[in-house]
Amino acid sequence: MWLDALPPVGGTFAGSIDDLFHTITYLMGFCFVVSLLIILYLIVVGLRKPGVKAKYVTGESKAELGFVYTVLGIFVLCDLIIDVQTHAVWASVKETLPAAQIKARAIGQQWAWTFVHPGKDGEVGTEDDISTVNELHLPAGLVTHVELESSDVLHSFSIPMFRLKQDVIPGRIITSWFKSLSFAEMKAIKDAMNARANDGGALLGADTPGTASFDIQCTEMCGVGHGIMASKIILHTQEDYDNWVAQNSPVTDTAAPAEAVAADAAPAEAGAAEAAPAEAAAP
Amino acid sequence: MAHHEMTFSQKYLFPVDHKYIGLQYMWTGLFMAAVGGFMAYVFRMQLAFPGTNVPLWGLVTPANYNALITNHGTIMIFWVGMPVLIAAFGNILIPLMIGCDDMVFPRLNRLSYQLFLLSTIVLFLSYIVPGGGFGGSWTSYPPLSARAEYNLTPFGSSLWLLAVALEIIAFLVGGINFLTTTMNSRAPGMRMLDIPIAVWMINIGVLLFMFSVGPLVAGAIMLLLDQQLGTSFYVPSGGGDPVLFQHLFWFFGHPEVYVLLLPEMGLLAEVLTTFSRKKLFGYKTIVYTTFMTGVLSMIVWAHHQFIAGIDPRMATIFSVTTIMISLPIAVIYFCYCATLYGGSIELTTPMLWALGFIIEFLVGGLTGLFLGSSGMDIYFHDNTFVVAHFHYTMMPIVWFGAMAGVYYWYPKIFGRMYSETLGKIHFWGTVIPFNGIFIPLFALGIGGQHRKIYDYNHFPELMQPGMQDLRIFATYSLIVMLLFQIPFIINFVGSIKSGEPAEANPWKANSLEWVASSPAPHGNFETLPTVYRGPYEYSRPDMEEDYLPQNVPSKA
Repeated sequence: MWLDALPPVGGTFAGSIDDLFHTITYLMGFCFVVSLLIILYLIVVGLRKPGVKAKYVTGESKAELGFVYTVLGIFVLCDLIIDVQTHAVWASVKETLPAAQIKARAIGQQWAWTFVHPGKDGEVGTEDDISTVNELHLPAGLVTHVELESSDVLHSFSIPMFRLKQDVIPGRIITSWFKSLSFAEMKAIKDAMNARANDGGALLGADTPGTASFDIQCTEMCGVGHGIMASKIILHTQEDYDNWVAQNSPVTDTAAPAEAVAADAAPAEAGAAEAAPAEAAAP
Repeated sequence: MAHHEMTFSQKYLFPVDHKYIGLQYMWTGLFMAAVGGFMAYVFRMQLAFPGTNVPLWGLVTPANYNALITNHGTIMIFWVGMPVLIAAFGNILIPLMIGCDDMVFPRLNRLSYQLFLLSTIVLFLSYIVPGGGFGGSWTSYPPLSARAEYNLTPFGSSLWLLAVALEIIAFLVGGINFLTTTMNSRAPGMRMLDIPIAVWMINIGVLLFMFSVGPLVAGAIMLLLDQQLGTSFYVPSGGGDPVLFQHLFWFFGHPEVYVLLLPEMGLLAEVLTTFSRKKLFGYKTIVYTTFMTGVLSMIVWAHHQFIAGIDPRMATIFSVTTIMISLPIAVIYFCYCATLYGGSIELTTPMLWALGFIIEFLVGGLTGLFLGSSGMDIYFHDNTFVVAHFHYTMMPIVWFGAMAGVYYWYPKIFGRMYSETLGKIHFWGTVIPFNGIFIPLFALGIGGQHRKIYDYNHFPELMQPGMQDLRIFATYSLIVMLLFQIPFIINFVGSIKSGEPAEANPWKANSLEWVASSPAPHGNFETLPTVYRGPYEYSRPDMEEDYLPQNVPSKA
């Protein structure tokens, strides 16, 4: 039951974190069961019987302390195993970032995420960027770098499906990364979740044929609206993503009147995208 | 020693007698436990039945919810754990157990409680000021806590901070007293290694508190300046650094866990040895290892910040130290388990609470390994797995530990026996639903549920089949657990008047507090005792009796 409770693996390093979870669960589960049995045994055997005096054991001699050192040895062993695997997982997720295949920027503010997509030129911070609120659109299966910023307080960018979490700090840009499974695999995961949800409970949201969406959480207390700071990562097939970019790219050629840009709520120029969160943060 | 009758005011309003100051702390702490428990009831009702009217409260707004979880945490740590485990038991037990007539600085002691009472009043004030109570979580991370425009509680957040600072000063004042008394006022013959573990542990806890609290006080003052004078120690737009506060906070915050754990382990040693009629296993090992734990606990703090923007290479170091701290704790823990070996165990109410602690804390301790692992913490950080983990440590420490102590020393404190039947109902009615609350939280956490969210309906992946049922189950368990505290209140309050009169040493225990009559009079002892041995000489093979009090001269 415990090992099944993890959400499906949706990203490349999610599997290694789950493996670490299993290692610790087996080791600690073993320690728990053995300790519990020892304690219960000592209690049951030691219950007071009339006329039977307790043993006089000081626990000062080497032989007596041997019990404690044995236990210590087992724990040293468990700790070492956990340390080694922990470091391997940590280094692969947080210390070394694979080269980006696509970049995006996420700006946390009270109480929504603004996502800046690279647009047609593949670079964030240029004129053709596409800004959205609470929807992060990406093609599935690519190494994605997300530059995390905050315009007010601490937030934390978390996608449980990828086992990704990183605090977001105003005044800094922290780059986080993930690589989702292929679109077909992600779609299958979403369909399975929806099928389960059909049996009882709410659907997880219907996606258009070329997309599969998953929760993004804010996992750092960020004020009154912390509980509603929910967004979606919407994974597309490459083809569907290209269409989405084409449809949502801001009109930048000189022929376009200024109103056309203003009328379209979602897209914004790079400069405006920088300013947008500050405005949104004002109550 | 001559003792005189004290007036009402000398006893209850402005006492300098350590026992009455201890009682003041205990009553205040237990009252605050009821307040904290009620808060838990309100926000758990909101989680189980979002948006409905909670009986005795009404509609829970997001701001309400945040203020409730913030203050639940703050109260249970600072206004229940600290006053009951350290201040109440420290005050009542230290002079009695080391065999002296009172604390060395009785008036300082009184000041300590008065500051604590003031801090309690300030905390309550923080809810009723315009804008309401602070809701930025008990960790109060800036910039959220530093600017009213972010937290929307211009007065609540500052008063909350002031209350915590006052509470800390109260414990510093009290702590000085504990250390000085233990070092200077021990009965003749009581060497360092004859001191009962309860007194050792309270003192080591106080030392740890004193070493670690300085940075927090400095950090809190800077935060107060940020809030009220608009400085920018922690606000990046003015050149500050929010992560600085996290370091200052957790440099205190992690040792604080041990500040609570150690006194609890101390009380436990007394209860376990008395009711298993056993000598404590490895007394010296326990004392030395406890010092090691204290030192180690001061270099683990950044495990709260693995993903908070610290240099990722630093995480590995703190992950190793954090996982390493399982070693000294395991040594102490298994010395306690070994104490049970070959015992003559009597399952009285205090013993049940002590054994309850041992078993429940095992879960809390072992699940800590998940969170000490930096790689695993990427997923579990700010997840309800963390909530379940630290409740499996703090609830046994603060409540099981306090209850073991309260029942065990009840005859000494009030001079009456409590009702065993009600005590046992209280125990089983607490321990069973306790697991019912937090096992679902482990499961939900593994399923990806994050913390401090007032309504999970916004997160479809957290509303999958069965998940809401687990939340409802946890809430019902909590309500059952809270209702089972009623027998305790009846027992605790009722037995003061109507309990059987207690003899001086009802448990046939060895330490010096049982030499004084029950209740111990002003001045504690008829004649100040002399000590001949350590406090755990139970079931000696060369004796008929199965106990040998510290103050009885050897026959040989």
